[in-house]
Amino acid sequence: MTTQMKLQKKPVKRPLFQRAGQNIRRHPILYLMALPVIVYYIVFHFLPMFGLVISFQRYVPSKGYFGSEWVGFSNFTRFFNDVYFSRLLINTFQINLLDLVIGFPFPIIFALLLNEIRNTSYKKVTQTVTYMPYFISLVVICGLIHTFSKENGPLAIIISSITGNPAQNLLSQPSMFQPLYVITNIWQGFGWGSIIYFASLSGVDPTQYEAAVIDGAGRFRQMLSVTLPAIAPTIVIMLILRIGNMMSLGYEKIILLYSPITYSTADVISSYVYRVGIVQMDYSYGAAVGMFNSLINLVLILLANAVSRKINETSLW
Amino acid sequence: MKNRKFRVFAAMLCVMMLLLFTFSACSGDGNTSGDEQSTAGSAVQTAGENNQAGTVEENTLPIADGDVDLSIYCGFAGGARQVYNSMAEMAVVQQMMKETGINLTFVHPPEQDDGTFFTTMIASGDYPDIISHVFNTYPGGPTAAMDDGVILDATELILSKASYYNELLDRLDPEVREKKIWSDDGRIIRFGTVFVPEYLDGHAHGGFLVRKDLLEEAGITELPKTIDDYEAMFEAFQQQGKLPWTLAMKEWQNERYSPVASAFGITYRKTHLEGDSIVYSRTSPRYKEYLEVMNRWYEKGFFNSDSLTQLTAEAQKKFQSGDAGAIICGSWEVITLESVGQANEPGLEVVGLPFPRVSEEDSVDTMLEFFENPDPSRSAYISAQCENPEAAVRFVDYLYRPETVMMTAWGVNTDEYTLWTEDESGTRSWTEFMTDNPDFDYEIGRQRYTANALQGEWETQMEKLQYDIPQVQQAWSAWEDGTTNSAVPTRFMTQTTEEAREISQLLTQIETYGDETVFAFITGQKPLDEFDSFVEELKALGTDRLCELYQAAYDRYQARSQ
Repeated sequence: MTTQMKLQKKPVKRPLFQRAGQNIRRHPILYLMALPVIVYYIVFHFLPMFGLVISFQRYVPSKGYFGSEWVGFSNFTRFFNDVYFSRLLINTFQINLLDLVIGFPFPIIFALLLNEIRNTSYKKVTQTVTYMPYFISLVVICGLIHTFSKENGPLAIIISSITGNPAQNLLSQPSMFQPLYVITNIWQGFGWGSIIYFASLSGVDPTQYEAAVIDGAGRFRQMLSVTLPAIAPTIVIMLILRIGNMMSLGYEKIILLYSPITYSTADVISSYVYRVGIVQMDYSYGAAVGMFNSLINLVLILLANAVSRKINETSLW
Repeated sequence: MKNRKFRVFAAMLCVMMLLLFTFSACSGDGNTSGDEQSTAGSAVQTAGENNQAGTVEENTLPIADGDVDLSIYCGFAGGARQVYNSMAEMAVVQQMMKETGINLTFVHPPEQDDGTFFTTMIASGDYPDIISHVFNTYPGGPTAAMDDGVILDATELILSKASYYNELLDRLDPEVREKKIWSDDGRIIRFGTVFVPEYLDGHAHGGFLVRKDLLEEAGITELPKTIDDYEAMFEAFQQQGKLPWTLAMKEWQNERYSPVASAFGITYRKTHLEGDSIVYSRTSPRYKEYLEVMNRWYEKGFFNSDSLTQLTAEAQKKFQSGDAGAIICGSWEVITLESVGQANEPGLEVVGLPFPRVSEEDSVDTMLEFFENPDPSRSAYISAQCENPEAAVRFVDYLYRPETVMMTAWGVNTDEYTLWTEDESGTRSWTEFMTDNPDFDYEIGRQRYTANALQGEWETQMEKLQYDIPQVQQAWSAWEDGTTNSAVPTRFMTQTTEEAREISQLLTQIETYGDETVFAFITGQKPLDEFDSFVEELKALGTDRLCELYQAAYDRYQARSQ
């Protein structure tokens, strides 16, 4: 038996370069299609990474990269020593966590539920209506939020009837800022976010359903045992990617909604650095803070990927 | 076979197009400027050595014979954008090119740009010859830009060649020539700035505007002047079922006019002068008195929680809908507020009120905003890459020529259309083409046919059209009643790059904490007996150091003399 196994040739692994060349020759059109995207990433994402050097300098545009004064880590220490550093970090993290815990499952559940609907026209109409808000400009959305949260606006009145407190502008209450932010995020994004789950749902093998029905599974049981495991890889990938954004929070929506009275829960890293920056164009400081954020995100995404690989063998790499 | 070939061809085509789009994004804008910074710089210096200060050569036309090209960076209004590609196509500008003999090209930022275009342009290292911009966003301001080799120090050229500019300075308050146009180290940094004509100079920028009809209904015959008067008025408004004061607390009006705070000799959010020393207003014990008043008014419901978050536009809508009694606005907004308000609630009339003060005879000295010279908006700077700085300086100076001011303000009449008519006494008025045109409204017309961005001075007749109206005249007299800016440091002081950096870091911390806590005091979330610990906390965040830095800049300003 062993001699027979020894006689079987071990497959020779050709060097990567040769294998790549062979692959390209076999599927030229695919690589050609991917070429612009690859060029885009190299030109706009990899090459500019060299520009991160300005976070260690006191960058002045007219002096360029090589003429600007080198200051080492002082931009970073300036950021870490800021009185509000811990608050900013906490707020950024908190909002992201809220968005993750509540906002992440939403599109999934929505996709699962809508998948159960048999009436296709109703399904299509609902889908279209739910992803329309995604296309509305953020500024318009924030204008809507402002109007609705006014003291005599519908949201404020609803909240006051629940809590029993007199009606007050919602955006002037620090405790309401984060929920309002996250809920409007969900409202705007869940339709669009569910698209990828719909795509993956359509790939579920129908024979699995038949087998489940034969085994006596009801609709709900089918969803749990067939559908959910089938889209689990998609969910995990999306989760890992989402975790890779935990430290970043765009300042646009925050700035449009916040006010000094809600700084304690609304002020995040990006909005604070924005305020520092409007007094003067301090590129180095902004770059340093951005780099710090990206590093944390990188660590998080590596961790998430490793954990995911350990637990259920699905991972990004 | 054929099918496959066609598919390959189609795929290649798509790929080509995608690549094309990718690369078009990273190509420059085609400006070919050389690296000739040093040669232009030394030319300016030798010119300076040859001229003595005080002798100005008369700036005559034409400046060139069609052999000089100048590129200008300036704003481009929306109404003009609709029909022209750049200002070079406008009739006014073409007339300018004829008169001066210079070929002009323009670089314009996109509409509603927030300053990013300017910073990108600076970062690109490719500068138009004349840059019309504030330059306060450049780290260290215009002087640092001169030191960095972005723009030229054109002081000598200006003193020797810019005759119209010099004539204008002679007409104005001496402090302008002595201090306001200079940097601390003797360089002119406010050339090409818009100047305010005598008609506007010194007038109030804005203030309280309230419903005259409501006042009459409530039987209030004298304009409220003291804080007690204001309270009585707000109570009356409340009983009439209106929101007494639609305030937008975080907006610029509150910051620049410091209403109510100015009654106590302090500013809402900035520094004020005590003698010659700069004090951060929020650390002054009088700030507590301001907070007490505001807190009392909030508890009584004179303004509500919307004030804490709303923007100017929303506050104005509230006033225009007829539901509010008082608002703070700028002089140019008076008429709009009244006319739109009348559309919603006929019988609405507005009246301006003097700034509230503690007792009748008090004066209000911490108003930050008056129409004053020079206007602190844009200035024109000559780029270090400009090949002909003398022509550039003379061109900017030409904009101050009285005839040019008329032209940029009123536009030129062409064969195709007549914008204005002038009678024997020289009084101009708009024709129906501008005022009653079915294709565009007056504002758009102004943007399309006049060259605001190149105006050297706001034109008196034009300003009168806007402000010589009874409501505005009354508002001015009320807002100027006992109001001065003698207790605030001048806004024409400048900081060095180092100072500016430190100030920005300190200020963000101080203002974040300050704004938050002030809002909490006003709404009553924080009791006012914690005011002392508030001041201590502010000091711990560095207000003393902040005042030191401002004081240094202020002292340097006072020491400027030319």
